[in-house]
Amino acid sequence: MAAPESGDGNNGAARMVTLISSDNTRFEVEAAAASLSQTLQLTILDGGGGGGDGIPLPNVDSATLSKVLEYCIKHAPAAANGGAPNATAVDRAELERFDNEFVNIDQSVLYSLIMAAHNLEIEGLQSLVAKKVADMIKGKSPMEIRRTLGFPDPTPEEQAEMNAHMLEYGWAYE
Amino acid sequence: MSSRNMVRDLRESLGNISKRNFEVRIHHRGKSLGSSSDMQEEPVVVQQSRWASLPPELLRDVMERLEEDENSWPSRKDVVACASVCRTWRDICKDIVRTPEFCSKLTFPVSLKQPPYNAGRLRSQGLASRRFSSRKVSPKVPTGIYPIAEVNYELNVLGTRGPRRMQCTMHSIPASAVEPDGVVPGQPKELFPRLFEESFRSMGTSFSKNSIADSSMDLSSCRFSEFSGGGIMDYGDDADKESPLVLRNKMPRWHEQLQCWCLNFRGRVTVASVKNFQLIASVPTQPSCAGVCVPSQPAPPAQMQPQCPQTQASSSSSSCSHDMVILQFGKVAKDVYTMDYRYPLSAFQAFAICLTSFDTKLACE
Repeated sequence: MAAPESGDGNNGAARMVTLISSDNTRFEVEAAAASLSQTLQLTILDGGGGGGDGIPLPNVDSATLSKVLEYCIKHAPAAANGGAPNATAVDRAELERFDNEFVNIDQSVLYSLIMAAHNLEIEGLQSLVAKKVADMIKGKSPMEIRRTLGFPDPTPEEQAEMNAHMLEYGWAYE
Repeated sequence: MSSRNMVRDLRESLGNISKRNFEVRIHHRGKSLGSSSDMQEEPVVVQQSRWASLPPELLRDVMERLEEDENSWPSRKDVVACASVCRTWRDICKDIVRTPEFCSKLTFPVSLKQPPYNAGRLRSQGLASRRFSSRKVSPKVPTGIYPIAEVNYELNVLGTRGPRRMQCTMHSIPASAVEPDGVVPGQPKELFPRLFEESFRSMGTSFSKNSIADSSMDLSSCRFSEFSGGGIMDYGDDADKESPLVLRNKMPRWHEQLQCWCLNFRGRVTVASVKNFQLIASVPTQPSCAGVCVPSQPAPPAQMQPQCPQTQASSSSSSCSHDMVILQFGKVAKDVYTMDYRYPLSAFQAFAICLTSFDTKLACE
């Protein structure tokens, strides 16, 4: 698990790296977990992040980063097995349960998560959140979607375009 | 700047970068948008509306997930709903959604929109005329019964045996639709050049690409407007484009050796039947029935002689452009028929016309 403010990264069997969030919180994680991020993987392969240096992540705050790392640590073993061809059904079910629980969070956190996943290039996390957002949209009218995602009220111009759309496809919602 | 670039920048100076230096750099770049301190200072409303500025590539990811899940109506309306949320969403939706021909999913149902029918109505009038009409379901147009077409069957000189003569007045399609660049009002524009070229090709066997190319070349060589020589009452020269498209059946030829009437269906029709027919665009000089429901007037002398080769078509002005079969229908087995249609007919119109062939009336067979 992430250990904020831990100092040196050489006290475990596995190689550890240190990540620094935008608000300067330090996270120490196994390199294998951090490598789920394509972005970090490049740095780590180059030998970065070890020792006291740490890898600064200026686009990710500590709350989001701890969430991201929670995902990475959970998924790291399966990813290490190369997509886990020999993973048991139990393992996969457990991961799925974890994923479902993981995205069952406030949508403002979801937004930070998908942005972080995008910036750090964590493909699995990005699709997990994208799927969750798609599920949030399902079954809603355009206005309901706007409200769900906290869009500002439509401008008169936008409203006119939405009305035109409803005139054309309104039957679809009946 | 992406975090990768940021990381790379910073990695280059790893080792001599202190915590304080790092803070300064971030401050100068002003890129710490996602930091928690920023979030705490923002009002709640602004914070929530960040979804409105979701980067397009992420929005696309979300919508692709929505799109691939929703295979059929009514759940597919979610994709339509997304297209209505705002312009950015709409653009991405349109980009993702492919046409039904490619993905076999209906998303934006132009096919329901135009021509919009949900119920056909077939009515016999007089001895040998059928009209069909339809109830429109488009929300843009008030509901009502609209005449789509009228099919007149003419008693042939041989009585009930022998080919009959059909004339089909398409109230819903202007005669100009078969001109070069002609359009059927309401049809999605990008669709029909391809339909025009390929509609028969889907049947695979019978119509070679050559014959289609020939036909369309012929079509472009003589315009319908050139034939509108005062034959149509009440229509000025300018108004001829508003006259309905009239289709007539291609007259079969009497085959001496086989002792029967023959039409070339190119393998699509195998059983002789009085119901077999091929419809071609009629020459506009012929006064069409123009919606009046009287037994059809005599058609101009049918082209009974062997057809001239396509290469000579340009010299025989009146017949060349009308050899392209727009609808053909015929029997292949007991109670089994094939129907081939092309632009400018819709599937509904073609099917309705074919149905009239089954309506047995005294004068029809």
